[in-house]
Amino acid sequence: MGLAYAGPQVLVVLSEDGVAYHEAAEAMRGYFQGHDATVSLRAIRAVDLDNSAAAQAQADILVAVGVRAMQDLAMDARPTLNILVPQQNFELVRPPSKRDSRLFSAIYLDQPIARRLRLIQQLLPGRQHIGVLLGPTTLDRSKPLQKSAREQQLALEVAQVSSQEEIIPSLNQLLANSQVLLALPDPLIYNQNTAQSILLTSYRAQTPLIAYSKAYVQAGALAAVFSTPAQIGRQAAEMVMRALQTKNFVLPAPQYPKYFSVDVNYQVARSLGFVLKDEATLLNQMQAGAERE
Amino acid sequence: MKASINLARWRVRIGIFGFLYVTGASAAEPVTPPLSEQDFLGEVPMVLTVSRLVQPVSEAPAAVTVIDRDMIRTSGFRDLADVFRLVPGFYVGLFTGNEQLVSGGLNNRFFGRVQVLLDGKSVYTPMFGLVPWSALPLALEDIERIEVSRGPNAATYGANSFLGVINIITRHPAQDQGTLIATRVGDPGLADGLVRHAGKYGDLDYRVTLSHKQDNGFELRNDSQRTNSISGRGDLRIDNNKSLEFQFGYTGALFGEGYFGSNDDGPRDQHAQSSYQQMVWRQVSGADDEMSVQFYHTYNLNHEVFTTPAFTEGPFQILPTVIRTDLDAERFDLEFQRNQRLTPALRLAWGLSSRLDRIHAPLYLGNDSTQDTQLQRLFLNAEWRPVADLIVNAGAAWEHNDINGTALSPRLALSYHLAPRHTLRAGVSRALRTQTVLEDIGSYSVTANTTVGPLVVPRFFGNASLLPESIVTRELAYIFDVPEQGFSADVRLFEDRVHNVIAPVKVIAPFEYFVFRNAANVTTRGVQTQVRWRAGSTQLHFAHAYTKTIIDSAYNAAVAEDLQHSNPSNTISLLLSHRFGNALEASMGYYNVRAMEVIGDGKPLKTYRRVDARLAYDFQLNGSRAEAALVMQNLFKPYYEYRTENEFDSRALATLSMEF
Repeated sequence: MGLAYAGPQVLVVLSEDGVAYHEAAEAMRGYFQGHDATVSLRAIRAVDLDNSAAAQAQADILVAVGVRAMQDLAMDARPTLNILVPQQNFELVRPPSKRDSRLFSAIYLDQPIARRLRLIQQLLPGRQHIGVLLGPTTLDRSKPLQKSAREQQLALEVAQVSSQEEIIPSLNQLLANSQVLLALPDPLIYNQNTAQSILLTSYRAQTPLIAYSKAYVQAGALAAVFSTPAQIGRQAAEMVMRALQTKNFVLPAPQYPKYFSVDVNYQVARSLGFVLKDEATLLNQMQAGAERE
Repeated sequence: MKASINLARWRVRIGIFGFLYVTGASAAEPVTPPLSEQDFLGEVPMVLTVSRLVQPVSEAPAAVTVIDRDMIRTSGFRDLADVFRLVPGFYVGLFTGNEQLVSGGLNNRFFGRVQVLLDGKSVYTPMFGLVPWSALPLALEDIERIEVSRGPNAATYGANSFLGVINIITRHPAQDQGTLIATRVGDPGLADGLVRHAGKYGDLDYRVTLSHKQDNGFELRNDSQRTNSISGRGDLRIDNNKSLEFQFGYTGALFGEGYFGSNDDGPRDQHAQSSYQQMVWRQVSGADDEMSVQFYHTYNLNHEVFTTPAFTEGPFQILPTVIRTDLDAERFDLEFQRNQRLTPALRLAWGLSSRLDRIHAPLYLGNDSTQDTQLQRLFLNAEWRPVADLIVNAGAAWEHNDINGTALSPRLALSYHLAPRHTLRAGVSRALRTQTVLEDIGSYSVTANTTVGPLVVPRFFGNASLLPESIVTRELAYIFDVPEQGFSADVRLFEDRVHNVIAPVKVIAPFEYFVFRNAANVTTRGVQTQVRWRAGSTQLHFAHAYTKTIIDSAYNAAVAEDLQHSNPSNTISLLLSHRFGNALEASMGYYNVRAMEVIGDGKPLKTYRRVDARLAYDFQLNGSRAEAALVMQNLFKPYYEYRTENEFDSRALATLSMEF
């Protein structure tokens, strides 16, 4: 506060006080300290936005962490980078005409679909029939998914559900024709209440679930490719640095996570009779392919 | 007539449940929140934990046969006990239509040497060592899978895990949301009905199953059965790591008992009850890190009253005598278990348990008191992978009970992956069979009224100086496993050395009666082969067992002969199923058992072959999934089950079920 030296100021707004948000902010802070100590970073919670007018006024670039912070900053005129937000939320929140991506950009939480399909290929070569359950949130993903699957020579089986009661019957039919179940985040389908029945049903059908989060792998999914908040924080810091080097603080276009992790549940793999590569080998192979995304 | 009355009663219950289902569904419909970062970063309840995952056959420390839902369904079997015909080395015999024997060798109606666990509850009864298969409050429809360990496994499952362990695992209620109605009719006078409803209430998944079974049994036996059961399970998610599971079950049954034409063991009704309550608290902190506390209570009641006719026995004129049999058996069991990984190469499962068995059986114990037996147990199993291709499984159970004092049951198994898909396992294991209450302190006499006053006729007497039976098993197994082709095969060579086999020995002075004693040492050697193949819509299960029984020593020729003939030299079972398109499923079972004679009221039986067939058709009924199936049991020649009166002729069963 009241620093005489006026280096670039980055204001990080956290949706909540949770560990993930702080982890992202800390990764950014660490990156700036290591690369350009003149950049100062200040992190506040979204609820405190109204009480910290001074801090906001000084900021050159805003970083919104999470959906709530993104919504709160959507009308601010300054360049804003949104992180830890699903692609779909970003596209819904982004004001249509007012802003181009140079002013309102994002790093999505979602992994590119090609990357997720490549995990399946690396993990379970020979399993070509991929089952996907789509709900109201993910319905519009069907086409890009089909396209990506075709490019990787995978066959996609899609089932649509519109209510929670339909999940298990649809899943049972889908599993009859699938060798792998690929989960796309859809709050109707994958939530705390349904995780149990979906994991048990796919396990019983001996069809592994490829998830989109670390928590699902712990819960019983076979594997997932995902980015940790720290990995996204690092990428955010890199984008902010690049923007700070431009004249009007121009942000790069919205993008998928550059850094990612692979988690495998080897207990589940053993039980299903899979002999899988270790996580480090998988990650190397995945990274080797990441340039093509 | 009886069938139609009972089915009508079910219909009323269906109505009630239908109503509950409708109201439940409309009230529970949640508003779906929009997508947010929480979908990616939030926690998810631990589901597939160590205790839920099936251990691959190639890594298990013992020979395991997994019977899954597909096998149960396609076998067409109606009674749970029958499914064990699919396990190599297991014998299933129908002593009567309502009393089944499931045994892993030295086949005997009583004094079971196979441990049976229903979701962790030991269900064999301590008086005779029997499992009340017909009275178990358990519907086949609620079973997720059954894991059968062949050979002793006391280090994991405790005493009486002697010649095998049957571990029945029921489904989580979240897997069966909605309502199922099923009916079955067929031979002999068979009429069954089942209604199940499973739903969700907040963080609670629940299931309630009601079922009725009845049939007339074998033509020449008084062995009809009518059972009504209710069972339920609730799984409450406390948070993402903790859960509480509770279960209950109750069966009320009426069984036909006794022999036609017998004076002292004539036809009569038995009223039986079997019930349980169970609670499990579980905390899961990681895929390999789990802790649970379990408490259960089981209760079995058998009640019969039989009045003999007046008859002549030797020099005595027997007057009508009332023989009353009351047998209450109750069990309380508390267990703590912990699974953990200490290092990447070392996993442990350990725990302790305490049990109280309480028996009241005036006829068999000769007094009206209640007999309590306590048992304490400590167990530890370690799985160690010193190198990637070698798995060392070592374990032991320390057990103390009121009958035998303290004993240790250790086990060691080495599994070596010769190459991907090829595994060699060598193991040695020791276990004890604690004598049953009858063998220990039985005092079973009948007091008959005669023209010259009361006459005490002695029958069976326990022997408090008995040693427990002990077994040492050595085995060598080869497993060939191609999971991507759905193929697995294993061949197990084994030698069981059983010491101190307990047998009733005849005493003639002045009446003939029996006293239990350690009467033999027996060695059995054999080869068990199992093949499983799932290729798309075709599934195959094959099991073969060759058993050679060697009597090392025996108290007398009768004991030696009984044991010698108790094992069939060869058994074969084969189950083949195929799905044609989405609607039609056909399956066939073949069972071949060589000549044998079961100990305990068995008769010499010739080799039999039995072929079962099933055809099922799936269809939509008013938008609900329905299935109609026809099962033909023993398509060809009649054969004998257990005794020569038990002629098993061809039987037809038809089932209709609907899920909504």
